Amino acid sequence: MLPTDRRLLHEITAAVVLKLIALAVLWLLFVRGNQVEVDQGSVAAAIHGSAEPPQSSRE
Amino acid sequence: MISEQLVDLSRLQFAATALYHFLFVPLTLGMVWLLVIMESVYVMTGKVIYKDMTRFWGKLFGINFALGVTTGITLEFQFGTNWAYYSHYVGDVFGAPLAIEGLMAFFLESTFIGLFFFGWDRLSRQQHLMVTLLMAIGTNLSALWILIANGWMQNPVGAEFNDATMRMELTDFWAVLFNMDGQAKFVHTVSAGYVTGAMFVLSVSSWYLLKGRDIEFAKRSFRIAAAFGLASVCSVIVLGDESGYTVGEAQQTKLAALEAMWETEPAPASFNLIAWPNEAEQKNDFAIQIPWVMGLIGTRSVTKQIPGIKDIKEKNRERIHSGLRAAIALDKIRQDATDADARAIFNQHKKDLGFGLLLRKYTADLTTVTPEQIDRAVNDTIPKVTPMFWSFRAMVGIGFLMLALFVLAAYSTLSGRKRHPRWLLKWALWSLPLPWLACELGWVIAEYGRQPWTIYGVLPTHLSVSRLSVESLYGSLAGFIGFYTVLLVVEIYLMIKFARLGPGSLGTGRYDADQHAAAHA
Repeated sequence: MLPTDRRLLHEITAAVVLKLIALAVLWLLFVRGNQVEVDQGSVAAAIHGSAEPPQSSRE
Repeated sequence: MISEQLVDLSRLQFAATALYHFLFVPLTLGMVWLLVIMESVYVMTGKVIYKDMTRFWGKLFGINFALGVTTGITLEFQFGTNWAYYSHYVGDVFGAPLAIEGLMAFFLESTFIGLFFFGWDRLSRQQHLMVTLLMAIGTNLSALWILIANGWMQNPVGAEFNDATMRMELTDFWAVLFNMDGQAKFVHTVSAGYVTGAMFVLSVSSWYLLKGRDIEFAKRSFRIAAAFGLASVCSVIVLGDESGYTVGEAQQTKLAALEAMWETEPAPASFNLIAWPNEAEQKNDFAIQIPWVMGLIGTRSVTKQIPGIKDIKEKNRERIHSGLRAAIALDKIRQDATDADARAIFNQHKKDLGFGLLLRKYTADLTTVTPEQIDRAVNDTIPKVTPMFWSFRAMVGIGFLMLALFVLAAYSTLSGRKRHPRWLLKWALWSLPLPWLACELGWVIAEYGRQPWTIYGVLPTHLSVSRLSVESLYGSLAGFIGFYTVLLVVEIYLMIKFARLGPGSLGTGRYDADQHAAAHA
């Protein structure tokens, strides 16, 4: 492998590793704690404004 | 009710990350086919210069791929955080093509890209060409599945709302797969990527020719880029026209906004070449029109009318009233699943449910809707005309400018002259940013033009967003923009560095940099 190719390989490897670290940091800072739990009831309330149905009508 | 600031910030974040991501994608889509062409010529003729071309341009392709790969992941992050309700509501349909993309296309291209770079001395010529071809197919398949998902957002076929699960469910996978909107977007988008790849090679080759270095290498690269670029830019224009036609069928609001068509004209409608749209008064203050053209482009006939914005609004008003009845009936069904009257009303109006949901931007209680709120919801159904109108014209203008460049470049290279004119080389060099600009404008037209919907006619944007804090959105927006900006700077640095080194960086001893190095040794 040529010196320029070896250098490029190092630079690209460093860029990819740093990118993955940056993505992991972004995920830890902004994503992990902000995941929104959604289910049938919360979607109905958020999108349709429907109240939670009584238990009997669900069954 | 959800704050408009939260909706705007969520949209801005998605737009910013998607636009950054799409700086990397088109070059990958286009350059990979240029590598296939160059390597095919090498395999067929045995001329080693074509192998060098494949390896050198492949190196620049590899830099772009390495920095671009995973940049789409932040978009997937956002589906889970900023767009959680959207993800739940349509995830059954929208998630399928994204999953297939990951399993099928991404693994295919990732596997073969390794073989492409490290297989030169381990594979036969034919085997290596097959690897390059499979890498190209994988890359383009990736785009296919993403655009099938996006096509479904533009025209949601093959799915139905299930009031028991409160989500859209897939009813016909083949309808989603062969959705005309998805297919038309795919061929238009990948062609735009091919133009980007061709322009990149043409521009860098022009720079070598202007500098008088690596002449034979640059002339051959220029020739292939000019021919491939000409074919690609013609495809972009023809397929863009087809994409516009499918938009006219499925999204009349987008077409009317693109063309600033306020009134329904007698068929065939004229085309507004230039206009000053006045949104407040719903008219154009000034317009230069070409008779018949819009009717022919938009309907492929001389007898079919294209509805104007005012008429579309009145139709949408009826759909909002109908959707309101569906939404109220759905609420009753949620309270009592045995309510047969509510069920009958819901079934009668459920195709307009999404239009009824537009009113939730203005009231939490749909049983107390006022005429003024309905008027506001009706106005919301049309995307902003001025940015749509000018974005489209800028994109088309750039497309025709590139067509002129590729025609002249192809003519110059086929005419057999020894040197290309310097003005043509300079034009090619300075045109480097144009395909990216056109691609980004195309994204704006497709996605901004879909507003106020995330899923056209089904789910309004303002109901799709998660209820996050504004502070956290500012934080993540800054983090994502910082992340992409660093990647872009590294990409540009490496691209310029290796483009300047030229084919001499291959160390074959056949190019200018090698000979200079030998002379200095």
